[in-house]
Amino acid sequence: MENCIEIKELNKFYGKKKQALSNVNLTIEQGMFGLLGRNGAGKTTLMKTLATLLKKQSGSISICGIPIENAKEIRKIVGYLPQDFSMYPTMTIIEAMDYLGILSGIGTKERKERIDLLLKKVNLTEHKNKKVKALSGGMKRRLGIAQALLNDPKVLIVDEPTAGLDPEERIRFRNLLCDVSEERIVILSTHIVGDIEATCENLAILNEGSILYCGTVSDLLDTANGKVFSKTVDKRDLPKLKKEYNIIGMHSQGNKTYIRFLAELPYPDAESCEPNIEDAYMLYLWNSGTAPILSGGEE
Amino acid sequence: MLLGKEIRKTVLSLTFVAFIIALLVMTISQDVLNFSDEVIVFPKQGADYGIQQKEVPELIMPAAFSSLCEEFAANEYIAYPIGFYKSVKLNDTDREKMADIISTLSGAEQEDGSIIIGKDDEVSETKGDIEVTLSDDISYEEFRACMKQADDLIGGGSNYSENNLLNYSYVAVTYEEAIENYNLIASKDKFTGAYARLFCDFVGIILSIFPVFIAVTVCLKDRRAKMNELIYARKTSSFKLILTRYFSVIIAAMLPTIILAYISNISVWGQYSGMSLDYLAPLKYTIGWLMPSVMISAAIGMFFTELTGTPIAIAIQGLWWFIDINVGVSKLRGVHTLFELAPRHNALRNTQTFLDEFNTLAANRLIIVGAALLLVIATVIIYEQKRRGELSGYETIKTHIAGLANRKSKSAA
Repeated sequence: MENCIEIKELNKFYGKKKQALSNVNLTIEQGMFGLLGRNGAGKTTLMKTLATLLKKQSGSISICGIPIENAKEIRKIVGYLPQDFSMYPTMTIIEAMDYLGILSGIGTKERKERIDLLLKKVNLTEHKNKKVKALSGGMKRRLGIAQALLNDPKVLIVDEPTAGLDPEERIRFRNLLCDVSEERIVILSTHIVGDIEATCENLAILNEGSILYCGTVSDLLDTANGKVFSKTVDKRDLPKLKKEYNIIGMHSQGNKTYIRFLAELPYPDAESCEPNIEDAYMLYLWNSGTAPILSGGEE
Repeated sequence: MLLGKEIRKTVLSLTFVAFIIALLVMTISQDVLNFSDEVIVFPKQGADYGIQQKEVPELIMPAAFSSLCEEFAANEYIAYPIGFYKSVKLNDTDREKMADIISTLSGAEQEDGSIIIGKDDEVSETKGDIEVTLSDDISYEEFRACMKQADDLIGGGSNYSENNLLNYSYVAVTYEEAIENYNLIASKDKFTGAYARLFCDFVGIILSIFPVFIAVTVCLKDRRAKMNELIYARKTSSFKLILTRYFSVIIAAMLPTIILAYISNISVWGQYSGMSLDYLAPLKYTIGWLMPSVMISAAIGMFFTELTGTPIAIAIQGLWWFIDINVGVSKLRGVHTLFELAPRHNALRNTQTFLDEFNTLAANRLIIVGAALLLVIATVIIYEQKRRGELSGYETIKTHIAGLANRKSKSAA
């Protein structure tokens, strides 16, 4: 297929024992696609494999019809923003972009035009002569997106782009991603549910190297319907409830505590709640038997 | 375009600044930046033309033999096997073999490692001072063969090695020889070549070590700036990127060298007005003589840095350089070997030796260039593997060290 990524039976091992990806099957089409999973779930491994920076052990990947083994062709159509990146600190924004543009094989005239356009898009035009070392975290991330878009890629891969950003920068960054996803595939890997909620229509949940869910956001929410409850309880009852249910939110109001929890069957007098993606995500982890203990310590 | 960017990146580093300072300190302190005091003039009759090393058997044989007897008597031999001083003491078996050599050379008998002086009635044994003289029947060829055996027994690099035997033979340069030397410099070196050669002799010491620092800095820069993955994911080929970076190091090292070579050479052009000069000599010598050293040093730097992700190349090149410089002290007059790093020719007027040794020097420089290019190709392969996640270098080393540390702490527990 011309405008999609197809991943079939993908396996990746680190060393002989540690399996980072296990039989991953995914089809990713144009628009924003979220890859949700906790730290260590295998998201970065999958992103790097798609960006040709890691070699798979088995399975197949094709990006816009090009097999992943053809790294040179893949690199022409993929833009990549790694999780932990920076640029030469003594270079200015424009110098760094120009250097990376040359490495992308873009001609002088086109490069200059693209850099101007992209810096405008990410709101960095007035800072273009600032050195990279003088940029804030948010500005650096925006520069990261700009460099990933230099070659006008068909596929943009962004790995944990909002980690460490303040709320304002995070919203600005999400909007930027939505803007650029109109004409390409954008894969957003994150452990921050809010990022997916705000930007993606389709998503996959990755846990311990395996896909737990793949589909639309609304379908994911449907699966959690009728399984999220809330109740105000006496603080003395909390230890018992923590053992019985997976509490996903609580806050104290004097001697009472408002709790939000997951349950297959309703708790007496509990109110059924409208689930959000975080609830559904936790439900999937819980059902897979890998959910972490969320209820905190004994009181 | 990319080359320009890479050169800019290379020269805008503290390592490069240190290189320029080292280059200036070397050329100024060794008086090779301004040769105006060292004019080569046509010899005048009756003047002092200096001394020269010359292979004169009549001088070498008695002096070397006498030295050997003294060292034998003390059983303490001076040697520089890899350029460093070493005092060698022979065991009984080797001492006996050495006594055999002295016996062959002198005609005196030896028994159990002691020389027996006199053959009939007046027999005296000695292990201390010995008074034996070199036999008249020994030819120079036989003498050299014996000296080679003696050198082998000592472990090489002794006063009796083929090279060092010449140290026993310094003779005054005659008027005729001085004229011959002058004519050679005028006809073969066109004067400027002689100055360019002496410039290369000193500058080669810096150029055979500093490029490794520059190359290591260039290669580590991506990881330090956390820019590896941004570059790995680009369209450009590993071949183009590594080769461009390699040439940027070579150009960054060679450009100031060529400029200094010309500054040094131009300082004497005015002294030879009306004579035929080779104005390209500084360029020819810096490229032919110095560039191979720069190439191998940079290639070692890039290869080991890409392979390990560490600056270990500095230690590797540093060791080679240190040994080579020390060994080179015994070859200052311009004798060359196939695998030397920085060829020496510490004389302005020794053109004949240069001509005699030219083929070895040329072969050495070609071998060094070949080895450098092979290392660059190997670096391209390693870089491409790293880009595809098939080799991680630094990460692998870090994992192994962490694994070892874990095992150690577990066994300690």
